[in-house]
Amino acid sequence: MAKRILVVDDDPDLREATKVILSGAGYEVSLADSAADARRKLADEKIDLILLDVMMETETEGFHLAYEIRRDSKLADIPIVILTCIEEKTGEVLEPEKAGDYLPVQAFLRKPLDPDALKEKIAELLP
Amino acid sequence: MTQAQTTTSRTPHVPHRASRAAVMIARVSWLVKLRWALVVCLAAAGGVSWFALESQDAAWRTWPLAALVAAYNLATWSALRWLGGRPLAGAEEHTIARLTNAQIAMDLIVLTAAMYMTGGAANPLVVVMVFLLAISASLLPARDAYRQVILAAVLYTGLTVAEPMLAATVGQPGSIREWPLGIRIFRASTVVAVMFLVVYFTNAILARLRRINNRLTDANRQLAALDLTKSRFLRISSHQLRGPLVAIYSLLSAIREAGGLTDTQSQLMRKIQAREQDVMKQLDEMMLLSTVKESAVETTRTGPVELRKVLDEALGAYSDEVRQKDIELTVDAENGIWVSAWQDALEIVFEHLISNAVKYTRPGGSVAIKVRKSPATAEIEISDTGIGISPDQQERVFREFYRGTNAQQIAGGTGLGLSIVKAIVERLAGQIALESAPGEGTTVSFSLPLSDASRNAPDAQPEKTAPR
Repeated sequence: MAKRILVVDDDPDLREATKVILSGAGYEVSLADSAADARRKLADEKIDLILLDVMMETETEGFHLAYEIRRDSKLADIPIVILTCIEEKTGEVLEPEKAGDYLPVQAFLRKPLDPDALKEKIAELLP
Repeated sequence: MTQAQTTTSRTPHVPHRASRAAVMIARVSWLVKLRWALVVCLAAAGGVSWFALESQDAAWRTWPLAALVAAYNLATWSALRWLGGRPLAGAEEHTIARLTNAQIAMDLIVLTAAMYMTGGAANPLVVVMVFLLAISASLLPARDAYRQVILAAVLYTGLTVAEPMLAATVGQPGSIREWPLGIRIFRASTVVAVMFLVVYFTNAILARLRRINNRLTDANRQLAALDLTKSRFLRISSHQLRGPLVAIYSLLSAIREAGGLTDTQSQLMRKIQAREQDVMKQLDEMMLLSTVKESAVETTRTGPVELRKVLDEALGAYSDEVRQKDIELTVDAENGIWVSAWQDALEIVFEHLISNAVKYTRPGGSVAIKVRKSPATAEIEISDTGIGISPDQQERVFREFYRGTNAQQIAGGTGLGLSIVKAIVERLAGQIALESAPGEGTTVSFSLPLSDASRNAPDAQPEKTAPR
């Protein structure tokens, strides 16, 4: 059965582009435009992997969602891939890789996504 | 012979709000030092009289005078030390002013006495009095300075008038004390007029200088504010532009992934994306630069960072290129050198400098990186045997968007790398310098303050580990 990936990003074009890329690789794709929307999708569908954009409406929306998911026993095992951008390097946003707290995600990918790198990483996390 | 030249930058001076009192104390201290010289002169004058002129009288007069001056100079000096040691508030300014007034009044009295004892009103020491009045005009408010002039006028005129009536001391026949009273007073009043004029002009000049200084300070502050506004604008625009660019790039990727493109279309698509990546890189650099300059970067992220670790990571990114270009890379850096910084910033600095070194060195060349520890700083040097920078361009390479002609011939670039590096280094309270000779190579060296752990325990590991 095809794995279902949830793409959480507030930019509609990015959602669409990522969907095309992932569908082409044989995955089912669900889309969410915010943390709230993501929670709804997670409750309604069976998601196998989450692609989470870290910079959404607020700077910390992505993180909070990741923590929430990890604390939820039903969702705790879903692999999460965080999509980061340059702002972290400039010190504006706390870079998750180097966060003092342990942020339990499986991988970090920088935007804009390289399709091959993305597919490779997902294949690694969803054997 | 090689024409290596050095350009250096200094850490931008952040002026502290020195209280006026502290400034006054500094200036009055100078006066105290001068007075020690006066003590020496008086003592010497006495000595000369005693030994050379065989006149013990004069010696017995100048030496006590010297002692008196020494005494109140010592008192003044101690008072200043005491005041300087305390946290300064508004009241101190008043105290210092009074102290200065008292000193100068004493000086004037002592000078008059010295003149009396060594030739009277004809004594050239009156020049010292005028000089002292000029100094007081710079140290004291105008009102006080004029009061000192009045005191000096009274003293000098008094001396002129009273001279012949006082016991004769060292005087020469034919000296002015033998002139008629009226003429002596006229002469004194000329001198007094000079005293007033000196104080008046000194005040006028200083007032004008102060006004100009204030205007400059204001202009400076405005410029700093404008620079900040510009940086902020740049950062926000870059950030806004990046979003759509990322979307465009991803949509293009999606088109390619969706398939069905002809070879030509595919190729053109790749080129579009390559150009887009250049734009995004440029934006990233601009955003980086303005963020560093904007001082809004969280300083809570500053902590001890180990240089060697960051260096190794940065080198990792370029190991392929180094191998491909057959560049000999030597790294001479100890472990355990910790600086106070935020890690990303250091990574960026190393990445840019290493990237430059590798990019502008021809295949077969070499790049050497040295990290050393000095008592308070870590010294880092990255040198290459690359194309170098011509002397007249070395000054400008740190400027934004500037690319040297040599560099332009080799590869593309944003022109922001070195300005970012400089901004970060200076932000971390370090200094950066560059040496280069065209055709021979370039060395960029910068220093960073050691973190406390590194400074106190030179070879020990600090307690906290860097956040990673």
